[in-house]
Amino acid sequence: MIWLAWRQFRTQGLIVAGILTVLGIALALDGSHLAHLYKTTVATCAQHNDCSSVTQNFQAQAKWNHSLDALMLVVPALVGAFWGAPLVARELETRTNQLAWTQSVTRSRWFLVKAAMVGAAGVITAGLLSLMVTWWAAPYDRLIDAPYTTSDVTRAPVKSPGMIGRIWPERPPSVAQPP
Amino acid sequence: MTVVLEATDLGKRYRRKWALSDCTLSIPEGHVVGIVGPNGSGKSTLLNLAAGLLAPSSGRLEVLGGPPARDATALGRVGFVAQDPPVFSSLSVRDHLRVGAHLNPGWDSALAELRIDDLGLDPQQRAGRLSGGQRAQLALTLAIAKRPELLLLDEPVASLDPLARREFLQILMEAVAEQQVSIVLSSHLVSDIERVCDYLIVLAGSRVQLAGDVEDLLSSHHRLIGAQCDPDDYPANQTVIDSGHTDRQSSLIVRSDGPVLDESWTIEPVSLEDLVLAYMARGERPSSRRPAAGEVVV
Repeated sequence: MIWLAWRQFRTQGLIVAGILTVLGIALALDGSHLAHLYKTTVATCAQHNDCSSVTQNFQAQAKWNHSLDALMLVVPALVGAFWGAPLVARELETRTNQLAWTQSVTRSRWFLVKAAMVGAAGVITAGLLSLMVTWWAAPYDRLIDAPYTTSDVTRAPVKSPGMIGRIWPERPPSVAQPP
Repeated sequence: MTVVLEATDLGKRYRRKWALSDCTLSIPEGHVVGIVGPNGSGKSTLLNLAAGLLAPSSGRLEVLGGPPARDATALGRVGFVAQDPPVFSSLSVRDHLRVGAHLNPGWDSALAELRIDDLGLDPQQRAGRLSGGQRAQLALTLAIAKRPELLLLDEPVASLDPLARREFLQILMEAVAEQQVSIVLSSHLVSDIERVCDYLIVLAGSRVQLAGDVEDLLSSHHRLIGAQCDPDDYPANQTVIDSGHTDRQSSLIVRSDGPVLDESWTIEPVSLEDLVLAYMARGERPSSRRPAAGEVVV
């Protein structure tokens, strides 16, 4: 049954894995750039007394902030819509459940294996995405926690959501908050 | 004698409408059973109940001595080919065989490969791109290669052209000859049933009208032809199933409970088609919608 569940899920799973890989590479490139920028400008701004302009520049560079935040919210919904909903509905629609249910496998086992596989894939997808975004946002998060944060720093919306299995980011898209 | 399918007062209701009611049947093993009846007479319902895809609304049903599809072992003993057989359209023919191998402990992979080879199916081809006949053959292969004791086929040839139809039934018969398997198949065409079945069940008006060994049925039923007459003049010890009248003569299909004594009647053998049509017509008549079970089940 595991084989059938995997075979039916394979294409969708590989597509999403591909998208995650591309996103991961993009985040790795941009994230290392941000980390470098943080180290060379923000971390040393107190010595140069230019924290205001440096942090503004840093924030301008971290331009993916809001789209990533939205992505974190949308991905679980997409996983539900494209993986979860058709899991049984599509089988009923194409009547392939009649084929599956008359092999030597009980219906409960059929459902459990399918749901477990797609459920696990959903958790891994959300977890990996969360992990990648957290890593990318690490310098940003440090900026917010830094003692020299100035009043014009926007509170970061993607602060520390990373935890395998965590579907939702830590807080909804944030609005500017006073420190 | 072992019974492959035993139904007692079996009924299935969809919302308000009964698709099958008061179905009492006992099918012995080792037969090729044909269920024949008009559209909507409950053939698919009966087969789906037997395959465990539907749950009965009333009565009891036992397949191979237990409730249908009770567990994986029971599922493995029954093969099912659904009407207009569904296949995983994005999976190849070879993938379907893998599905069969993974999901059935009794899978006969040599048999499956051989059949796919004989049929000339390309293992790489996606099942969604097969013709109707090829899809039916693939579904039959899956059902046969799991080595069931009972094979249920719901209108297996309904969507096939005459050539594919003959081929399908021929392959089915070869499979029966090679393996110890009982078969129950449904059709609305008597000619299909006549070709392959040795046991007949007539369903009409969601009830069983007739069930029995084909040879027994043919020898116990006759056509009587005589001068035009009223129901009062029908021969006494004959059960009249269907009657037709012209200006000059009456033609009766009767179940003979004894020899016809009145010599004014000409006795002719009855064909399977006539027999089926007579019982179907009787089942569709509103007056006989609720006959006593013992009266019609032979």
